[in-house]
Amino acid sequence: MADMTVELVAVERRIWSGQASFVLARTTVGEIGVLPGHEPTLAQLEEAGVVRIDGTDGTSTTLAVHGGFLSITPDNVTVLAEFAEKAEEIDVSRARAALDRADTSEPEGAAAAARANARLKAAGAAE
Amino acid sequence: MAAQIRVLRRRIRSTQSIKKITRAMELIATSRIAKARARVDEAKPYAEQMTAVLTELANNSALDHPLLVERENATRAAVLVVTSDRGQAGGYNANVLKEAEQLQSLLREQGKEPVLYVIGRKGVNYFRFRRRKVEASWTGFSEQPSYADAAEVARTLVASFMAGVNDSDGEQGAEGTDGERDTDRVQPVDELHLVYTQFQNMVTQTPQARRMAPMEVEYAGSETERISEGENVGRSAEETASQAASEVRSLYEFEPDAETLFDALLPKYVGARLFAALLESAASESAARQRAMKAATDNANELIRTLTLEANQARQAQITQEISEIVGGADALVSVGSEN
Repeated sequence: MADMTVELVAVERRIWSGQASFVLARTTVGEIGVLPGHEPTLAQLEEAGVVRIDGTDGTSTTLAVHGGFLSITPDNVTVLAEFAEKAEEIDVSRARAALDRADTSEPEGAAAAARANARLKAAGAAE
Repeated sequence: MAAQIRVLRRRIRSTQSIKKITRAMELIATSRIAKARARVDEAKPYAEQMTAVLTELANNSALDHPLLVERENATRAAVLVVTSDRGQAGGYNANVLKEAEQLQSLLREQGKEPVLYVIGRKGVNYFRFRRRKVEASWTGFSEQPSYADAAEVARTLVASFMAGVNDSDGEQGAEGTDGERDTDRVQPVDELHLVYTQFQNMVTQTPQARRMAPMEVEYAGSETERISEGENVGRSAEETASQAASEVRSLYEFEPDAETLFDALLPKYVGARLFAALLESAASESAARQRAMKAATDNANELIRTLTLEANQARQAQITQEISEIVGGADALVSVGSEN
């Protein structure tokens, strides 16, 4: 009962898969923490957000996830993402540059800023 | 005679350098196939999960989403043709374009006006040469498509598809609404078709015409079985095996509501399917190119062999002639000397 199968798949590849005891994500309506045995749920994640997966082996993985969906059954959690990056793969300086460059006055720029922010947050470098 | 040998030698040299080029292209294509196939495989989990999630949703609600509903008086059908940017790929582009032409004439028979969308420089040139109107085209990524490319194409297609929602609601003719929409720069369409090349194996790639929208999300027998199988493991403990799959589905919670989720998911589903098609086409393109270039290299080898033979014969003939000329000359001198 202590674990569930978690898969995080991005469009171009499978990023994370294995056994985990806890998944933290933020949906469009609020933050959600998933433990094994969760009620079946389908949720849309924030356009640019952070997902944390605590594996059963004690490791914790933080990822920046863009355009994601979350599908939960009692033993399985699947995160579908358009793009996803593991915290250690994120280039902090580039994300910061993207954040500075983004023009938040227009919707596209605001989205870019949100993405950059999510990447920084995932990398643990947000101010 | 000497001129002939020179010509032959020149042809041998140029054939040799062509062979070097085709051989290099063959090797590049070979290495790209492996990469492209790996990408096709890597993209599969997403597509599978996406189908699974959509099936759940579709079984719950929102079956009246415009992307799923057949339109009664469909007048315009978008045809997206996936071709390559470069040639030297044998019949790859010709086959796709032939398939596209067939689809278009089929659509015309059904009374729908095909609207062309093209990916790849070769397709763009093909239609431009024939002065056919291309609604939109994208080039530059046929060999190594990224999801961003697919998403952009999907966005355009879904936008024009959704723009067509309203004009088929009313009974009014398509002409009237088309006129209005022309100024909007978004051409409404009632159907989306995709023509791409399916990668079956290294020697077989078949052009395929598929309808993307209104889509049939694959919740047919095999698909539902696979999904409920995955769930069965989870619920067998708490529920009896006799419980119908539909009841299980209704257990799902949605965040936000199912309709909103559906609206957000379907365009992404189109994007994912398009991306898969692009990846398969890229793999097919490389495979077709590899085969074409292998044939070209083989032909070059054969040509070099024949030309070398001819050149040697010509050289031999020249020597023979020179000898007989010398002998003849010497004989003449001898006979002149003996007369004196």
